[in-house]
Amino acid sequence: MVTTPSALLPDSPALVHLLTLEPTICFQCNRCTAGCPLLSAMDLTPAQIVHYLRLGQLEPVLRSEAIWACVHCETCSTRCPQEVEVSKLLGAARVAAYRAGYVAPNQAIAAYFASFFENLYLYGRSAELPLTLICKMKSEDYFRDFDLGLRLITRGRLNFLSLPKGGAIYRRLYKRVRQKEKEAAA
Amino acid sequence: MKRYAYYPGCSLETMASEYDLSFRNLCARLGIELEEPSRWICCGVGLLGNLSPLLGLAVPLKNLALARQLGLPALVVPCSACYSQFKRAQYELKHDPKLRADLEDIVEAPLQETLQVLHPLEILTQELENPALRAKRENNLDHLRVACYYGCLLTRPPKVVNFDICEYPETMDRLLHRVGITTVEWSHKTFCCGAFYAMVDSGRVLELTREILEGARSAGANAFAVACPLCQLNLDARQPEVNQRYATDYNLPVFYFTQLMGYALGVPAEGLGLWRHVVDPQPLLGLRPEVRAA
Repeated sequence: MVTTPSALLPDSPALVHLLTLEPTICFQCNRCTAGCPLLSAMDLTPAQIVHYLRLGQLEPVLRSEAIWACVHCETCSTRCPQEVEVSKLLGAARVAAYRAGYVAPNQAIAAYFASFFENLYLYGRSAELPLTLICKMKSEDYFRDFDLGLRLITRGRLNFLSLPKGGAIYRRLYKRVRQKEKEAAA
Repeated sequence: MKRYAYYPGCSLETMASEYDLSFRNLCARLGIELEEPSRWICCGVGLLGNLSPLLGLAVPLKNLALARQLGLPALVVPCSACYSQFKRAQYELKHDPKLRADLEDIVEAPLQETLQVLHPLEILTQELENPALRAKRENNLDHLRVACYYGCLLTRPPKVVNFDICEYPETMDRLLHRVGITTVEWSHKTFCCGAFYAMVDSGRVLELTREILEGARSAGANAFAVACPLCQLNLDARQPEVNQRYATDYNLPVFYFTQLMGYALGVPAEGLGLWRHVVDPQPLLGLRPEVRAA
């Protein structure tokens, strides 16, 4: 079911910020695009995404693979001569896509994100064994990076013995945030 | 004796425990005391904000509130990702006052900005102003040519973290100079390694890592110094894969800067966790391979 992509509605801070700036704020110099280390994984360039958002055309942005490829290295936001927070806009677009039920074109990244969230809900800290197992089950890709895993295990760099105990603090925060968001929506 | 609150973060408990070990031992050597809050949770790594922007702020702010209970003026955060999350949360809170009431309610604590968030590079820089430190030098590392690799989140975006010159920082270089280590001028100091994309599509990360390795080697470096667990993992643990895929022969140890400083200042080698590296750094330091501690 596709619902309203609330994170990018005109009242979302990131988009309000962009839309209230002068129309010429982004003059398509493309420095964001030129400096992006993950450009080769993107179907739209960062500059194209900013342009679509300025025109109020959310659909192509929410459908794009590009918003999922960003690792938030912040090179774009740092180099923008107009101080557009490009990386933040990509993040906001991802929340919107997530909430509106768009499926990430790259399933590996969707699986990684979901595993990260589930693991935090259980343990409150990143725990390598559950994170790896959940991610492998979700992506149904059991042997990817098998050699890397071995290299790390033999050097004692994956802690498989103890599990963190921060889940309760995280779950309490999570519930309080959700409640706050419900109140704001009502 | 200086005392700081200390948030190690998830990686330093597991994958990067040699960063934690070497930093703690270096601090002990310099007379700096670290106090870890008894409870803390993940910083959110910027991923949580994808689920809910409010949650993405609440999680780092909860950690700051827990650390503040220790009553110390500053919190030291060695992982670049955690560091940037804390700085980002403080920045957003300061620039959007409407958020404060909601967030105070969510984290169940007052959120005045009284806790200063510092990276180990910053506290060590203050410490090394102390001239007595040169006298502590014990190991000669003249033969090293180190490429200081700062990665992304330590310096970007500059208005949030306000750390050194964002495109060409020198804080780590200056620190290493202080303990007698030569660093190189090079091209990829703040180039992204691909970060968590390594968990999604390692091929793209190998491309980026190779660029960084080549940049360092062509500048004459024989080792890296880093300040971020993910940078270390991508450069160190992926080096065999880079060599395999591109038929190269990189053999560049990737030290945490705390390991290099600790070694120069006489922290015993077994207190640095060197055996845990994929590219063995011990030959470069003239050490025999360490027997793994039980």
